Amino acid sequence: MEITRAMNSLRSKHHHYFAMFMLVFSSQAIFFNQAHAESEAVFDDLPSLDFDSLMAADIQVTSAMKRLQNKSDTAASIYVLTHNEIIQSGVTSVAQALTLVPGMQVRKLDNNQWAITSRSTAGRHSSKLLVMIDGQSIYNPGFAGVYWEAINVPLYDIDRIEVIRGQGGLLWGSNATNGVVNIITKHTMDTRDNLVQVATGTKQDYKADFRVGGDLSNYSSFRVSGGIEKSDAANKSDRELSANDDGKKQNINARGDINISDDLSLLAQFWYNNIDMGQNLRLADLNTNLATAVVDQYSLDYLQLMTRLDYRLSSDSNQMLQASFSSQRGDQAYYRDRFLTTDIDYQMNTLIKNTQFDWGINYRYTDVFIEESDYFSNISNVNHYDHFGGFVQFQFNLVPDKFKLIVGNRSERNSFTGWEHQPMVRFLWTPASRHSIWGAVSQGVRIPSFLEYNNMARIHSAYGIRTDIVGSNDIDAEKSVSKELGYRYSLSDVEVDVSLFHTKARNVLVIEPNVNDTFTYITYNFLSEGELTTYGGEATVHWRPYQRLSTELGYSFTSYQYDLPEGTEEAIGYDSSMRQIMAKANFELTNDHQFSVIYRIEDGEAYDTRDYAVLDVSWRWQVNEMLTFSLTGNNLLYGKHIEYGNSGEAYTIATYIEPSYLAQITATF
Amino acid sequence: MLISRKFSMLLIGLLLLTVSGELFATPREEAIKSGFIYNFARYSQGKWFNASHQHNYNICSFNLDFVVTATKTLLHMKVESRPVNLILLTKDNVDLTSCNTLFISKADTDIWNTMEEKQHFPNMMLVGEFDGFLASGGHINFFIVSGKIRFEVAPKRLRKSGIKMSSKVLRLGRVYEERAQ
Repeated sequence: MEITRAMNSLRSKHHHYFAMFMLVFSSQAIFFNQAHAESEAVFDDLPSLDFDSLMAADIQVTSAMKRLQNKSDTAASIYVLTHNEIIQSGVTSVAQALTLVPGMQVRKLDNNQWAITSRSTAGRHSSKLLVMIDGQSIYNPGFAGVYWEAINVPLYDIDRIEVIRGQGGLLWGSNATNGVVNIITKHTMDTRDNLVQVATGTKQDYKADFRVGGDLSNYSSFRVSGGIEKSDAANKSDRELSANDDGKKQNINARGDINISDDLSLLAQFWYNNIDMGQNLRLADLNTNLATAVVDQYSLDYLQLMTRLDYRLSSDSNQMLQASFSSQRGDQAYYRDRFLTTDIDYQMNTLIKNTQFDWGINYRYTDVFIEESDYFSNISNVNHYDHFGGFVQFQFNLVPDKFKLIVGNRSERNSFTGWEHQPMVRFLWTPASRHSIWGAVSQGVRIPSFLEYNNMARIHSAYGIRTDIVGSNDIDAEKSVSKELGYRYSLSDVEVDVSLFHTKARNVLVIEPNVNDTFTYITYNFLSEGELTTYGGEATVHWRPYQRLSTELGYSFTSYQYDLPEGTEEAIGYDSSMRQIMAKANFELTNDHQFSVIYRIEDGEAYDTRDYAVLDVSWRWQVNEMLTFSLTGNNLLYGKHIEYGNSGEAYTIATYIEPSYLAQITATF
Repeated sequence: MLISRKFSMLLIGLLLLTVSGELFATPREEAIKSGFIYNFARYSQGKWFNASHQHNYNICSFNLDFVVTATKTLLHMKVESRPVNLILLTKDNVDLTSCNTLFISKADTDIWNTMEEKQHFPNMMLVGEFDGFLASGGHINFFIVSGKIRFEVAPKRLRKSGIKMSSKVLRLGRVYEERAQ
């Protein structure tokens, strides 16, 4: 009774009236008069009362930024990699951090290059995975993938990495049919100290990073961070050449969070990464057309600028406007590209009684320059790509705290294939407080990459005949319909998470070989006429038997089956299945000594490699308040192995991934 | 061009909407703040709270909404094995003798301004949520950045009141330096 009276008293304070000034905002006025929709659920949704959870908690149930609200409240297969786990595991890059996520396919081509995805075969140049840093997509429109080696976000600045396996993140953007990786960096208010970190190891000559953080007026803050890194080559390559995968990376980043008021904040961020690395390539000899191994030194420059305005309209409504610009430049022996991309995003989230209403609009424009070379040429005069559109999503709490129905759609028009639609329907049923069951049916879209649409690429031939892969302006977007079902059980020290999926895709990219009449020229033409069925699942059990010991067991299975039109071949992957078993443990021996152990078994024929297992162990010692020392061993016990042998998908010649050790000292002051 | 014009309009609209007034704390915000207040007590040591002489750890506030929310949030919570208890103060009866933490909400700024002895509260943790709270004698002040709650601390003043806060907690907050703390 007292609580009800108090709530009513509180409600009376919240009658804000705003002038309507344009149509899109007129609807908001209705929401401002909504009484607080928060009920007893306020307390159910709260994080635990430990400091870390409270620091991470949003004061609103809605959140304008593209990120998860609450793991237990999400009808999708999700995994959240926390800052603590990233640091304790001793990983040194975002790509390596993803090896900690059960169900992620993470394969190293060499010491620098990665092929990463989920629920599918990962490729160096194909992933169907939307990767974002603070809501800004870093998807490369050239080859529809990500240069993982160019993501140099300092791990100590990462708040968490949210991973959605499957089509759960469709509303965050296109090309997310296999999943979403959302890297969320810390607010600068939480990084106001200074940090210096140095590391060296058997594969790393040196790695030195720094961060300078501080306060600005009115609770605003900033940080500047950067680093330099030099790594060694492997001892053994897959082919006749010596391994050449040494590298040098440097990056500088800056971020400012301007707190205009409690309800309005401005984020401005700048990233610049430069990498210069060696690789061995398998290219066509220009005289004989036979395969020849080439030693190459390649470089990438990556610059990003982003600003975001977050505004809390009321206790139940907020909005975000984000504008970003990125420039990517790559220079490899066979391929030189440059992309200039401008993105504008607007998003609004509102809670109306028991219904959350989210909508947004977005626009992207990319200037493309792919230099014609002996290996690459343009088919037509296409030098830009753009898309625009929007999304809308309703989350109906049909039975409060018991049954939630989520309906949404993203529609976008792109300059390659026109309008594409990604509808979805999801449910989340909580029959008892610790149990929840979710399900989803959704359609995802993958827009053809620039290479598939507008380029011709020369490749080697076993017959010594000139051979080209030829893109097509008539290519359609790949459309996949996915059905998912999941179950979660959550107790204070035990969590169980199981997901099953079945995805059927049409308009899948395939290759049609053609030989001319004189047998002097072979073309592999891209067509969008295949069908692909994938099915499988992921299961994770997290158990914390003692306060100081946390364990996790993960299992995933994916089957991948093509249905090809006659006379065509697979373009990405081939009929195969993959299994992964992962066991993780984090143990705090004392307050100052922590151990992390990760054991992973990778099984299956998808990458044309032997099955392998890796053991990663890390010890972290908090020497004093200022100083931390860590020692990490990767790929222990089982010696060197090849993780990516699928030569049909990458020019890069894989090297053996060897055991390695890294020692690191971090000072904060 | 049309699209960029529409986005410009959106931006202008967004900025115009910033003329709205300040929002009062929601139950969720109050619940999170009560969690912080509980942790401030857990991670502090000193004579401000003697568990061998007190049956409860008392958090006092003039704000009914906060007291209701915090009572529910901190149910079954304990500080040094003593149950956390919420006490509602009123303007007419400001009896602070049993308070271990005093929370002054934004709505109670006027009451705070009339409390003459606020510079000299012995054995009490003073927590607020408005500009000028620390300057006027408070110990810890909440503020909001990007939708999350953060806090600033006046450690010297805490020590004067017999409270030694854990350095780990101090590192999470923003340290308020005042010449005459």
